Amino acid sequence: MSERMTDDYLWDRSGEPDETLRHLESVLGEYRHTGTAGPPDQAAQHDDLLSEDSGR
Amino acid sequence: MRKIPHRVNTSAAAESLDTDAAAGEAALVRRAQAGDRRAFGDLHTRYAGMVHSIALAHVAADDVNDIVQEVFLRALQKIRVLRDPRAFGGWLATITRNVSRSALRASSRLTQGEAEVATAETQRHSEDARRALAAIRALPKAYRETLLMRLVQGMTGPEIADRTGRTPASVRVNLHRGMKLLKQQMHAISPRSTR
Repeated sequence: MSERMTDDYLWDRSGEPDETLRHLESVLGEYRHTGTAGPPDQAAQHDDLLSEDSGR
Repeated sequence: MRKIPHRVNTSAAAESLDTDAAAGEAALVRRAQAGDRRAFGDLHTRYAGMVHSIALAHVAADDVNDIVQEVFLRALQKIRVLRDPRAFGGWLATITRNVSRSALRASSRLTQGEAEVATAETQRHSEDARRALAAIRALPKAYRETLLMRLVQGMTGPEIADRTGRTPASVRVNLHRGMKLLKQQMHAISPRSTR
């Protein structure tokens, strides 16, 4: 497995992963966000604005 | 009659697509700022993976879903004050880091009994998964979040750049260097895991 192919896979999955990368993707997939909870209720938008994290 | 060119400038075409995507997303943020519930839902769908990965870089895995909910609640409350809609991804990432740090401070005040429950809950994940996550968390800060977006969420480099607002070149360097360090670290812990 060439390093270039593994780098391409790491970047955009266009090459072939080496064994370590394949293993990491497989085991860390356990932590993947499943998206079961939707966005918070819109009513919260009418709450008082908090002072921190101000807009950019 | 004017000839139609056979060759398309792919780089210009890709740049045009990127510009269109950025404009589309800015429009989505503006609609959410105006109170469009569906637009905010679309932003949630698009960014939940990024938020989840950033939170996972900082807090216990069992707390991450709560952090994601809290982050989007705050974003919903404050999206109207975001001045540049194109900065939404970076703004959301900052909120995620702030919420995660607050949660960490709160967890450091847990009683011993509460801490034991929290530790027991993390046993849900396999030993290999916990070891890999611990190795990523031990990496320099610049690499942790990027690698988690790639290895946990399966986001590609271009997607990470698009969501976070960072340049593709910087994301590529972080992925490459972070993975190199991660392999060295995993090999030091368990030579079998980096064949």
